Amino acid sequence: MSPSTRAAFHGLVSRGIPVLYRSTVWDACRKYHASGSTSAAPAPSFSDLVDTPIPAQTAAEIEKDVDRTFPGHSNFSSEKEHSQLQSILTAFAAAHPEIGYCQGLSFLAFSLSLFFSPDQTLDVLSFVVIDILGANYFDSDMKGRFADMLVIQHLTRAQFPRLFFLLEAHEVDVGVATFSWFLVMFAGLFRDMELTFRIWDVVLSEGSPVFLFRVALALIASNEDSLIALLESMGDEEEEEGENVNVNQRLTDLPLQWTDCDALIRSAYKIALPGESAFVSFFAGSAGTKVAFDEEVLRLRARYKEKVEEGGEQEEEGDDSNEEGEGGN
Amino acid sequence: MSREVKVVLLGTTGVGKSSLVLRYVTSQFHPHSESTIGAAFMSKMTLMKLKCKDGDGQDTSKIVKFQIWDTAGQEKYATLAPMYYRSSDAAAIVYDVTNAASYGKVKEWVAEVRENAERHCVVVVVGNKVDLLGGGGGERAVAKEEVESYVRSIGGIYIEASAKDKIGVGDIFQRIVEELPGIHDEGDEDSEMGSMKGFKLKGGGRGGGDSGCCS
Repeated sequence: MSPSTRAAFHGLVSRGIPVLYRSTVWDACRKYHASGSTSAAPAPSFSDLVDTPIPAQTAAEIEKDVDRTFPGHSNFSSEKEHSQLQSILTAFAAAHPEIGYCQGLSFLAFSLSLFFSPDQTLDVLSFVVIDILGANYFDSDMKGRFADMLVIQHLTRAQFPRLFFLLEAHEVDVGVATFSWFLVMFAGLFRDMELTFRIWDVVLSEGSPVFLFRVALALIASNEDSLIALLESMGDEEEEEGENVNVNQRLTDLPLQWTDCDALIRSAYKIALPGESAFVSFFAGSAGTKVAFDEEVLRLRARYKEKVEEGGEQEEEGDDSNEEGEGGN
Repeated sequence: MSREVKVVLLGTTGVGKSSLVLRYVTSQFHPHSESTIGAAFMSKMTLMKLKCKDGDGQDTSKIVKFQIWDTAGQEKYATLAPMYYRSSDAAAIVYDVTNAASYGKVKEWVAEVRENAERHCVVVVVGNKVDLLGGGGGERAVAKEEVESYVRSIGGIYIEASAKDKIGVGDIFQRIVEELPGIHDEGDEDSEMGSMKGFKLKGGGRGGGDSGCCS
């Protein structure tokens, strides 16, 4: 793809892939990005994978979760859908024994299955999990997910120092509060699933989770002032007694406030490093230009991944992380 | 004059942790609830009866603000659990009374919490889904006496509950409050605590008075 074609493509994708073409485009993105990383051996077929024995405990965990995945969704009332989701997750566990089953996968799998046949769903799910989020998001100790919790903390501190300081003072951990956002890539977290899929349009076409961080920061940015006001009022005894405020929940539930797809995508693209022009980052990355924010996220991901791998799971207080210090006023 | 009490729910997947929280906080029950991704957070402010009487022999009570962390039960998530129980005042470790394997996990959680949580952390073992017993379609997997004697041996509290039939759910939180060290005589420092809370005043204030006024 030439840079100008790519820019045009990403420009279109960011405006939303029409539902009719979504599965075609997502699958093409998978083939484009995953092509280099697959092994030479022919992949086992879906039906072979479904019949491959998996550990009894994994099978039991899958069975338990199938009923507990979007229980209210209208597409998910019949036995057929249940057994389909079960076979997709079983095949995934057989194809990726290092992961097996991890809670959260059923939400990704089900959301994808709205667009694909079971065997295609498996392919795209593998693309999302292995190539985009990383297998260590879902393996036995989830270190990848853990590392990204530190990344979002770091980014929040850099973008919203005053808010971050107040959150810390109230022992609210942004990484913990936004845990599910990243794990299931916002599946089921917006009132309208179309918002999730608009995010996925960008994430799948980029083949990278960076846009998830943009969305996360955009969600926080939209509530920065009200969260600060809330946290400041919490020092105030009377306020606290009167209202049952709950900052953790407020943060986790931020996606529920959004219904406008375009506005969300636009806000996410506007996130920039301090000093970086937001207009530069708008679509520029897709044209092959290096975007400072995106580069920073990649750098932080690599750095915290290394840190977590080393076993240093404590919050880093050393090196450059103290620079914002007491922040705020 | 309220007191914040942090409670974490632990236990293997599908034993009803989220249902217990939902029942307690909103008085609702959903037979087909969603599995918990990572952890969920809920809070409830309520007036709780304390164990001791005041000077006139009347019951005493206190406003308690429960901050409840409900965790995902799958084994993999165990590495994340310390983030939730680290500063908890109480851990409710839940199992399904009809499922022996889920009771096996209780012992692992108890050992972990005893070793890593704050010393004053109250441990409540909850046998959930008692509605399934006696004609409800299930059988008790572990004798009640056995569980009770185990829980006694670890200095915990044992409560049988049903989120579905609204049995024992309030007791979990009532007993936690009763067992919390220092909850009775905290009133005076409260005004101070309110504004200072969070600014790394952790533990020090509350862990100190090790016994309630009744003991």
